[in-house]
Amino acid sequence: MRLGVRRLSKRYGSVQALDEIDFELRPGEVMALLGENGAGKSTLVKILSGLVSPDSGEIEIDGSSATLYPSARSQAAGVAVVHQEYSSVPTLSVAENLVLGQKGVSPLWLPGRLNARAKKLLAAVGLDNLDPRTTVDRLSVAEMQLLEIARLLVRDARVLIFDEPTAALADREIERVLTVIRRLASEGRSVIYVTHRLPEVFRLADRVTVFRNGRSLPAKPVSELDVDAVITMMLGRELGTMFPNHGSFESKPIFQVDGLLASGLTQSVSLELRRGEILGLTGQLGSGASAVIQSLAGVLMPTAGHVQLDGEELSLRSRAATLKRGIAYCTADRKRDGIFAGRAIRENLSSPWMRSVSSGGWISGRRERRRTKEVAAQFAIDVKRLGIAVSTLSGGNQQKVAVGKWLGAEPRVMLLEEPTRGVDIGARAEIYQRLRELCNSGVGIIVASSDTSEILGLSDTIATFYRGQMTRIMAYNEWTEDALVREVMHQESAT
Amino acid sequence: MIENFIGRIKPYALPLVVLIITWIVIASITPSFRGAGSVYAVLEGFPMVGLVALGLGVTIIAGELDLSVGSMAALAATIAVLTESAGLVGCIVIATLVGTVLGAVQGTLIGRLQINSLVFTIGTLILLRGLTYISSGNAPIIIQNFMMTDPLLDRYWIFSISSITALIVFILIGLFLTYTRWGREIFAIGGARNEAIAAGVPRVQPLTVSFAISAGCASLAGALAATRGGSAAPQNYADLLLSGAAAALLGGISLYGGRGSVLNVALGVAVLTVVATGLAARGSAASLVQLVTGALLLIMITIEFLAGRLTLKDTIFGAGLRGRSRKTTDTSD
Amino acid sequence: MSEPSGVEPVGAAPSQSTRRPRADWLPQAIIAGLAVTAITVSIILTPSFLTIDNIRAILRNASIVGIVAVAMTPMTLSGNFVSLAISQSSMLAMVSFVAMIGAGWPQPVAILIVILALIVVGIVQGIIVATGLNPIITTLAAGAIIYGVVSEITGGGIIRAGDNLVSWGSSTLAGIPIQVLVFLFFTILVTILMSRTVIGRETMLVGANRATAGISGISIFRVTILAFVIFSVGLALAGILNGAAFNQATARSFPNLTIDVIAALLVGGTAIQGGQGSPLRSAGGALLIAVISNMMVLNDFSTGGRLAVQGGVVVVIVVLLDQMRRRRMASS
Repeated sequence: MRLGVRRLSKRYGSVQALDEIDFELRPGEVMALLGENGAGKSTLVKILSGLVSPDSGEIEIDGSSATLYPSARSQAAGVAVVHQEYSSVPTLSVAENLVLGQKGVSPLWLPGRLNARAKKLLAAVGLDNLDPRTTVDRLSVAEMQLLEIARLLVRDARVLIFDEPTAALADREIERVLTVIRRLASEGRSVIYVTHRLPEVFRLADRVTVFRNGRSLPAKPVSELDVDAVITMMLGRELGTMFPNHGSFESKPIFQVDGLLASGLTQSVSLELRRGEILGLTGQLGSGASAVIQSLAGVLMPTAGHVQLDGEELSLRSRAATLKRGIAYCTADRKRDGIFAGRAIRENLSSPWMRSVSSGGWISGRRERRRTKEVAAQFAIDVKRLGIAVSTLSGGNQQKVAVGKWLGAEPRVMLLEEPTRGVDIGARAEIYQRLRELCNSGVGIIVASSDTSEILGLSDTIATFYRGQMTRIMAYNEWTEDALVREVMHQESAT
Repeated sequence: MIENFIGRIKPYALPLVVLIITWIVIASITPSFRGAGSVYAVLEGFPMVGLVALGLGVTIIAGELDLSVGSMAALAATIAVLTESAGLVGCIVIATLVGTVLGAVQGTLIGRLQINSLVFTIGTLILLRGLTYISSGNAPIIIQNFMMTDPLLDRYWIFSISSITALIVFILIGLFLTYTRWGREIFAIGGARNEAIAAGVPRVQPLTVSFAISAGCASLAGALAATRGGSAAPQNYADLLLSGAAAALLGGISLYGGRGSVLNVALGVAVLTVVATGLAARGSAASLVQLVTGALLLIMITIEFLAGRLTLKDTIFGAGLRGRSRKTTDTSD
Repeated sequence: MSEPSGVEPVGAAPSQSTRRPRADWLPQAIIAGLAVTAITVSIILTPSFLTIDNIRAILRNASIVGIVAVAMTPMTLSGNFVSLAISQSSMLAMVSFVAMIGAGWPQPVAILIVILALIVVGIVQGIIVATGLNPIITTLAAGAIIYGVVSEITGGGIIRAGDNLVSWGSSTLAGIPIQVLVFLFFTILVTILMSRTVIGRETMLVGANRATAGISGISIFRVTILAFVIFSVGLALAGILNGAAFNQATARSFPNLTIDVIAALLVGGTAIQGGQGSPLRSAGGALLIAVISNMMVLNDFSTGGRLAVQGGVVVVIVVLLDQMRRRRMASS
């Protein structure tokens, strides 16, 4: 056994990310790690790479007990991770990046020696023709990915973890990466391959471990499985009564998107949104769903397409332009651009609609307090403490603020990305309820989420995306969760 | 072969063109700025502005900015005069060493505390200036044994001892930045700090080194000037920050960090010195030099900004001023 | 680190769990505490500290620095750092005012023109910075250009008001020097602007999180321009007041203003990255620095000693504030 994990647990606030999971890895094997988003895969990867320490549980490497926190220990233990975000410095050359941060390298970086050493590593990942003197900012995405792998080879790592390595790659490039990984495994290294792409699992992996709701299922050899079996292992979560009833909506569209094309989409997208409808867009990393939302919000410049709002042409040139026409946009990452962490809850809630509680440039404190109190009450946020900083709230309540602030802006269309990421069950239910109420009052809502059960429970109409294209769009009652997951993973149904 | 050569020239194309044009213009309107004399004059700009620009440039490459260079130069000048009994070389070495140590302390604090270097060095700018006044007794001090400094006044064709010293420092720092791990790590933390640290580059040490170089160069500049001029006044060199920054940026050091070389700094210093010498020869006041320096600085950062915005990336205007590579990761999970 | 999405917890936790809020008032308390300590120590050690004349001198010194510090606060709050053109800009105001008075222009007209002129100069810089260029370098260059232009025009000499001396320059109203009154009103004005108006709130929000502000429809361009306008008004007032007091000016006037103002702002507790601070704090910082400075003068500190202490105070306080801010961010 190369790596053994027993009863590992990790809790983030009120969310149990890992619940006594077991995980094992043999020398020279490729283990695929599957599971829906939020099932705990990335938490395990963070623990193994030393970014986060577990609350409880044991880890063993090659038979002896190991502590992998902080990352220096993890590296010393022979664990190496290829992240989705690369750790190359774009302004330095390939050769320099291969040597950056490595121990035991001579302090003198003479180009001759560096380049020779680089050429050897590059050859091992199939980048023989790449000049090591090239600066990294001139590489293609695939080359950068292979460079990341080459960097790992230097470390002589025993456990290699790949986190969605092929998400942004074209088919031909994927093949290169898979070949390299197979070769690494055949040299005796162990590979954990985190992915949503079932074809790659069947082409590459020896065994499969599935995570579900923070719990792990025992690993199974790939030879004993087929697509149906894997999907069944991944699903099985109770939807519960978290979602409000679906509403009815008019037939006349409020929002008409025609031939929309932007970075992240490989084919143009056309769709309609009706008043009172919740349209759900779902797909994995790089599927194009978020590109659609961001274009419609005015944040991502489209390269083609027209949008009409209530019959009038809508300019997507800037965020200010779309906001003025009544498009609300709740982003995917509240910490980055969804809330003002250090400011009071009240100020956060009123930020998109300050003008409507002011006259002549003066904010009416009274009107602001009244309106924010109303919104807060709707979302079950303690109205007596709206003056404290948003950062003191739990994740779920912060998200309620991030979503709730748009209610007061009286939007005509509301766009949301990953609306319940990092949110506990109670807050999620409240957010869904408010969204449905908003919808019933005549606002159109488009939600993009990688959480298929959320989309299934919330939306009236669901569109699936895969690799930059919209693949299917149907009403909610024509979908099953099984079919939805297959469509998102681009698998043909066995039946 | 040719392609390789052109590739290596590209980042210096614009400053080189500016230098040539400026030289021709100034030479044509200023009779005294010709021939070997003009080259001598330009090289004489290196011991003062050149060294400060070099040190400042290193901190810019590291993604920071050392605002305290002027005060550091003044302090070093004072120390050099105070330690004149150590001899010409001795007092310069002592002053430079003290400055280097102070700079290393600054860099280490900035790195450990993870504080913005702008904010920190505004404070040390004032503090060091205060220390300068204290150590000089709030008045200018003079070298007693002024004959000791005579060698510095000699001119050897287009060189002087000061300019040769400065050029040697330029070359040494240049080699350091290009061929040593410590030097490349400075580029790494300046170009992409989070990625560099994720790759294993130490968080504090490159900053310690950058600020030590910055303070060391400024100190050497101050010490050379003080010994050459024979005196040190506590209020001096306050304008060095402007000239140093202007020279570094004019030569093509990118404010975005992680890019540039000592050749860039040298070109910028040359341009600035040509302009200053030309103006001085025509009897213009120092204030006009400031005006022109400020204007050139503004023009330069505007050009860099525009080159980044428009797609001029592959022309000589954009060469060496490339923006960061786009990240292709999606925002989900 | 990011939290996972959509996980059902084992044993559901209540939906609203608020962590105890860290003391937002702690930085202010520390600064106030320092100020009180400084004043108390001064009173004990220096008998001449607590005289009317001395208090008046402190207030006068604090006022000029204070006006500009308060005026620069919106700029720093919105995340645009500080301006390195403070000395030169105030000098521009002072020189133009004195020159116009000396040339016989009526005072109200001169005052108005100076304010407008500085606003224009400020807006130019504001546009450059709002477009995306580095604010430190931009203002560094602007300062040099202003100095160069004024120097060329004045030929480096002294500009005098000549026969048209301004009489109210050193006057007092009910015992309060005119500079202090202007300082007081200006501080109140800017404080109200920042806390009660839409554009003031937008300034705070842009400083708190630029990306969120953009998504919320706040115009970062407008906020930046306004910040430079307010700043320019403050610079103009400082120049006019000093011009009125001395009735002469040179291109080298206000030699230490840049450093004094930045120190006042930082000591007052306004974070240079934006989002934290207020005009009141900057006013307090100016007062504190004036008190410390005065205390040192009364105790015969040399120029060097005073500078060293000032620098030391700035470094210590800046580091303290930064550490506290960091700790607060990490715990949320």
